[in-house]
Amino acid sequence: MATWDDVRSYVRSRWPITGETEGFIAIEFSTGDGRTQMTGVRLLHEGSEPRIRLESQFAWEGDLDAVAALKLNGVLPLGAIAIDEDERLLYAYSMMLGTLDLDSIDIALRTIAVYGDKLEQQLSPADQY
Amino acid sequence: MLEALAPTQRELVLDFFATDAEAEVRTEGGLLDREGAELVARAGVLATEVWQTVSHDNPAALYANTVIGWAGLKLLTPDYWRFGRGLVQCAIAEAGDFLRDEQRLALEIAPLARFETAGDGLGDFDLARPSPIRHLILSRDEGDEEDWPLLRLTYDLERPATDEPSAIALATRALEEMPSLAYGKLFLAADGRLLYQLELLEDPSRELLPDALRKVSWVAIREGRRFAEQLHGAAS
Repeated sequence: MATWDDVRSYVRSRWPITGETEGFIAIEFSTGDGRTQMTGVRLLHEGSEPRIRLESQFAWEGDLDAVAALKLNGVLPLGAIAIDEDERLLYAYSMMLGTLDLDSIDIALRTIAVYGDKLEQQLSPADQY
Repeated sequence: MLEALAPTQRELVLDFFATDAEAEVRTEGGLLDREGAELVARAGVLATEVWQTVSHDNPAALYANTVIGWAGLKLLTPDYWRFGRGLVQCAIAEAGDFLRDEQRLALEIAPLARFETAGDGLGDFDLARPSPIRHLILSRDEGDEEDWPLLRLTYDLERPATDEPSAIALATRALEEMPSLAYGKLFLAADGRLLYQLELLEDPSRELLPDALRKVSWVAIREGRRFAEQLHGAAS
């Protein structure tokens, strides 16, 4: 079983960290054409098992029609669009710590960053996130 | 090639699913691959015979129950048939004194005969069967050459929204629900159905796959039912 400290060590060993608070690590990915995408790894204790959520904000609630967002969820390769408690539109994917293979974070986090940026670009040419 | 199953075959396969995984097996247009369904059914027949013959405290019952769940989950390839048959043989070996010699022999020779006389002796499967859940769909994506096939379990929440305002309210509620989900995702199909979907990688460790499928199907049904209650209310 992986722990949050294992996840922190793994992430720190692979990417430069742009910020860290209790239970959250921020990483900035280069996504090509001079663009970047802010992506995070968050520890969650909801439910019976601890998990991590890989997430990338790409807009705010209201920037994208909710029905269109829910349809997009059907074609996104990993994870899904979600609205968090701060009304942010996230592209997010959860992984249970109890069964986590640390190496699987790599491709999952890159996917979240790349598609988070693609979603942002669909709404605006600006590179805000 | 997909074609409609004979009523007895279809009932049998669907009932396996209802018995253990509580779900309906569906593929394209509600049709099942005939050969695959027969293979599944044969393994299920054997397993059910073991289940009905031995004490449920016997380790054999665990193997048999696993096969029934596996059969219900319709893994339609010859490899899985061999895998299921192997599990049945484990069950027979584990059954020990609970099986008389003639019972053991009957189980050994059963697979080639029973299902080809469809309907013959299959009525016993009607015993103690809960009502099937008709909302769970299992599909299999072969993937490309580098990927392992992906199994998708999709719980159909139908069309809870009846007009545009309720559709927006429903979609917003579903998106707000997403951060709390430990597994799977909610999405809208092109035809307006709301779906809850879980994916499972069909990796090489096939001895673990039936159990993983059973757990995943259980999560899909539990969460699907929860969303059905919450989101149908949100759209009304």
